[in-house]
Amino acid sequence: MNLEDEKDADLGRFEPGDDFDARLQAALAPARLSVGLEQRLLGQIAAHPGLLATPVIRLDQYRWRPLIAGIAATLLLCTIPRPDSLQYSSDALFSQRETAEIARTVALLNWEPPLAPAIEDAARSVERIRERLSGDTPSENYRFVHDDWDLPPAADAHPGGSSLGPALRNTDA
Amino acid sequence: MTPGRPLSVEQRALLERLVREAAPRVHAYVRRAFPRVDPDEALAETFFRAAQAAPGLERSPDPVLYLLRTARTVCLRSLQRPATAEIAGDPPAREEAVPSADLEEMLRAVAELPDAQREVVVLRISVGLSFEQVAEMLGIPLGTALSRMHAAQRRLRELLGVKR
Repeated sequence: MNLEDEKDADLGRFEPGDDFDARLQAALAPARLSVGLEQRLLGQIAAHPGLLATPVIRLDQYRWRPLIAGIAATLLLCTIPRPDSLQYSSDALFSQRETAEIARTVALLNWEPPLAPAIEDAARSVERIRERLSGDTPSENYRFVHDDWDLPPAADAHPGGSSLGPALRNTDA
Repeated sequence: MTPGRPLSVEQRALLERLVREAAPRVHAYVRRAFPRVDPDEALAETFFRAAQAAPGLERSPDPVLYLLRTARTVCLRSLQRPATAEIAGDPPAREEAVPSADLEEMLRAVAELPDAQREVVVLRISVGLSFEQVAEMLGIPLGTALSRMHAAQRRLRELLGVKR
């Protein structure tokens, strides 16, 4: 393929003109996305609605708010014995639809160790929300999550408060 | 970044279809045209932005081109930030098929092309855009896209010692 060929006829799909073009096309052929990356993208999309607008979980300091919010929401659901009651609460943290989306999102996500600091921050926020809503002690599920990721107990971690403090204070107002 | 509006069922379906059908091409574009950018992060950022601007994506006559433009903006902004920026940096280790020596040599030659030429080559061959689309996306005249492609092919042949 040369420039004149292109001008004359083929301005559409690339067609190799010789072996060199064919090798170039083979070298540059797009590969399939890894399963992990595809799931991450789908998880972002699944987490997008509602969660971003939810006032409680505003993780503005993180680039992957939908993902982290999904994790935080899951921790919240693990922590409160009756998550269905959330939609009837005056706090109205998540609707039934959002809860279903959260569950779907988390099912898609790979919880990988590099996310641990963000999960830890989310976990502390969720713990504070949980205390505000129910006053219950952490459930077995919550402890399991902590043990699984080797996270410090929320009450002991960062006595100065979570970096999510302003967001939480806003919701208390 | 302001929170996005909830996605409609149609918008979500469009995004999910684009993940499955167009994301590999966007990934290939980022990976080959912007070698200093982490393609996984850039792709995730691209789809995040696309979800935030879902009405614009939905109205776009060519959603793939819309995604490619978004990815380009993400990459260019990333490269303008300091080296510790979120997206630019050492590419992460990844599991993938090891290209043959021949293809490896070709990829090295592509990486040596001037940025403007390499981008046209990648958009044309890897992404599969027409020259009109390449020109539209890069905001350059059609003749410029054609001449960059021609120059790139000539340079690649020189680098690899191939005669026409």
